[in-house]
Amino acid sequence: MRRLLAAAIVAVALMLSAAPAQAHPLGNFTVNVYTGIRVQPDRLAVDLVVDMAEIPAFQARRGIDADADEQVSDAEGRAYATSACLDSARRVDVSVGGRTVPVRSDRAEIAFPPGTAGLATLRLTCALTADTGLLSEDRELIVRNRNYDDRVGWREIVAVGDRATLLSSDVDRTSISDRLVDYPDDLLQSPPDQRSATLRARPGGPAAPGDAAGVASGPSPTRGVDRLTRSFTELVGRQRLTPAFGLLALGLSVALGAVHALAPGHGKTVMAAYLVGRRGSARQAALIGVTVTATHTAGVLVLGVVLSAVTTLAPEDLYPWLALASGLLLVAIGAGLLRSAVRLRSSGEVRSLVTAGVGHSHPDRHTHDHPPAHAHAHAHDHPPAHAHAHASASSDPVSRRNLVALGLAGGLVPSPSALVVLLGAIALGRAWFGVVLVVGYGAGMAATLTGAGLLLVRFRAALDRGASSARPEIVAVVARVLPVVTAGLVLAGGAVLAVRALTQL
Amino acid sequence: MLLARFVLAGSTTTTTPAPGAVQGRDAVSTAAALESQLREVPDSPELLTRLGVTYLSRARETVDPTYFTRAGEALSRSRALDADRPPTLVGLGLLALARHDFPAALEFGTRAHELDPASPEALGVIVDAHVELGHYEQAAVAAQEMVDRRPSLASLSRVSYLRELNGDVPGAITAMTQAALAGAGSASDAAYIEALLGDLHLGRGDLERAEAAYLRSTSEVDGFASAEVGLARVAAARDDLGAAIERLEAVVRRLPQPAWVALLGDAYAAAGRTGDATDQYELVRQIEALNRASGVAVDLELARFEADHARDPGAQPEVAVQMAGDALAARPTIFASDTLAWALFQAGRAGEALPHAQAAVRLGTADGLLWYHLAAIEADLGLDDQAGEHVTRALVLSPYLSVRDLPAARALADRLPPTIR
Repeated sequence: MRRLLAAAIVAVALMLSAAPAQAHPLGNFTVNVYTGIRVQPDRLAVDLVVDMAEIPAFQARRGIDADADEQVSDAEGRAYATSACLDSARRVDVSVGGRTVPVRSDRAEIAFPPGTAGLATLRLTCALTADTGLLSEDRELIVRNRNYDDRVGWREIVAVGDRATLLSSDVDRTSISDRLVDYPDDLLQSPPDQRSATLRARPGGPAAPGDAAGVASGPSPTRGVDRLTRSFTELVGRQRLTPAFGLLALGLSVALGAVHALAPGHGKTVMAAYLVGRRGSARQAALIGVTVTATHTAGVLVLGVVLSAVTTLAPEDLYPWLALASGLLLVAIGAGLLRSAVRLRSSGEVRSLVTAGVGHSHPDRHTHDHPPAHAHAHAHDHPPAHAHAHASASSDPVSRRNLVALGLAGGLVPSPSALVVLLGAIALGRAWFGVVLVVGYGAGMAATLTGAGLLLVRFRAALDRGASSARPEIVAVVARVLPVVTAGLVLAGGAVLAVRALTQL
Repeated sequence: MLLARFVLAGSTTTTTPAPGAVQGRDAVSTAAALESQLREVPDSPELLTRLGVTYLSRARETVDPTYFTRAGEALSRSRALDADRPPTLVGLGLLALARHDFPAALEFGTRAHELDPASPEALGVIVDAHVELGHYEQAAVAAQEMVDRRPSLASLSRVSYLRELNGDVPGAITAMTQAALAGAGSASDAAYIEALLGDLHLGRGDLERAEAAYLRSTSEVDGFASAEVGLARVAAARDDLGAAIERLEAVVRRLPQPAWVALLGDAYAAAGRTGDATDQYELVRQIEALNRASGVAVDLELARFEADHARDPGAQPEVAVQMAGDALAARPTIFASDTLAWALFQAGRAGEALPHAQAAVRLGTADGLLWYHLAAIEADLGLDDQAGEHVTRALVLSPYLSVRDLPAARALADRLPPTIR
């Protein structure tokens, strides 16, 4: 979760493909070093990559091939990587406000991408950590990488805030070589020779994308945020803000929200269950859609503000709680629905739910197509039930509260995409534009959800029509069981959401 | 190595085509400034040339070969915009020298000299190209013209080298000392000249003066590689192989130049560490393979390595002969003649080797190795008198010869007492 959030700020694509088998672009005896610093609220995660061209790789091979059998086994490679990263950690100096902080190596990886003339190159990746203690604005962070500093080669340092905000930095945010994978071929540009970075940061801020080591560990860095959102946020960050572009971005944002609402979640199942079970109207569908959108937009805005202002708060820590609240709310609604459904059923009123409505909307067809006795029997036997059912679905205050609660539950968990858009805009100093985009996003969601709700209402109407042509026994059974089933669905959906949230806490 | 120092000495002052341009350490900031200016005015031949020449300085300072590529791009763009700018042609000439394309260097230098006869830089390119093409007389004429115009570091260091080639080592030392005084350029210029001076002293066996010069060099630029190698050679001459190996290991780890890698291998071998020596030799061959794969012409240094190692287990003496022949064709210098002679001798073809060995000493160069190789070939052909005389001469000129050849040369000298006439 953390990773996807700041995709808005830096979109770093990981290129995992091996380098093509050609001469090292930087000359075959260079040792190239990349230092990717992620400033986190209480530590620095340092992504150290060493790309050795053919000759130094050959020189290093001697130390890797411990049993001197001219082959590098996996175990030998791992052992070398581990010890090389331990050594490398010692040659990365981190100081916080003048105090030296030890650096440790958490993970080491090695690969031998093919080079030219049948020789291999060497790529060492070390995930290093320095526990700095909680950041403070008045303490300068200095990171100096002394690894291979007497070698010829490309030396690049980048730094990003990761749930921390960089106030000042003398290095770039993104790697121009894509972490020593794709060296720029602009020949009229000296290779970078960055050996240290001086930073100032405070805790709090959006999370940075990608893993410290740039290698996927656990969930994918882009989980939950589709490519579309990333390109969109990138676009917002890049373009100059003209009125035309603003409108275009807003339009895209609405579209993005509409598409996003099609994805699983957002209480659509619950809404469906409710509307089908309770024989909802178009107005009800609209009410749910609007509530979901309002809740969602408000949630995103609040979360965005909170994340930008409050220290050490990670959205990934917050999400399960919101999901739990949402789940529990649904459980409560489901339980209430179930109770009323059972009560209705036991009182016998429930039968009228189907037939009364049908009779109400198509009295002529009923009387003509079906044995009138049956239809009338129902209608006449339970006139109050008909009136009651109809009322409860449209104007009963309890029902309205249920609808709003449903919308609330559906919108309570903010969409990561919208949050990314907002945080991206904040990070780019365009907070107000971010708010506009999030509202647009919400409107898009509302359109989709309301549309889906209307479809469901029509589906229900079709069901009712179908019921009129079906056999009365089945109609009766469906009419009796449906509210119970849908209430159960709402309850079960909420329970699943709550349990899943609990496991993530 | 001899070539390198010449070319690089040449680039020392020719890196200032325009007033107020690059001087050594400032090359980093100069490059950055030029790069950003070029983003504003991408079509300025002047800026492009200055940037290209600055990249050449950076190449010398960092030993990073990618700067040659950058320099080539900047200079050829400049030339495409303006074909006849002497500074651009000089830059292209220097680049051609660095890439061992001597005929092209001579062409660029000559063209630049025609357009701007007063340019000492153009003359510098011409001298260097002539030397590397074995045109020693033309080189001397051009160097004389150069030093007549201005007795600078660039001209005096060239004079020194020509004197050395002609066997006048004291004269070479004098000129190089003057060059050091005249230079007063950047720290890297000073380090460079001091290291060359150290080589001259070491070549004639004056270990103290050599060491002092190398130390002055490293005090100018910490860890200056060719001075570090020089200090290692001094240590080896004093039989302190441990210290020699330590220094060479550090240099080779940092800058795996084939000649230095081979030297480290020789030091290991002299210390009885054959396994470690083999590793270094293997590394030299890998570098060779890389060069071949990237289309670089066979280098004289690598041909020389192959000639030295033609009798190692698994080596192919005929390959060494082939490489040396190619090197001589591309670069008909006395050192290429020597290399071909040595390769032929190692391949058991001493008869064919003799004329090449004789050609190698035709200038009377005071380099003991040339004379030792000649002596070994003569001894093999039964020409004991000449062999005895020449091996003695080798050891008088260069009492410490080289780590690799000294034991064999001494054994040969013991076997063949010199005939004194």
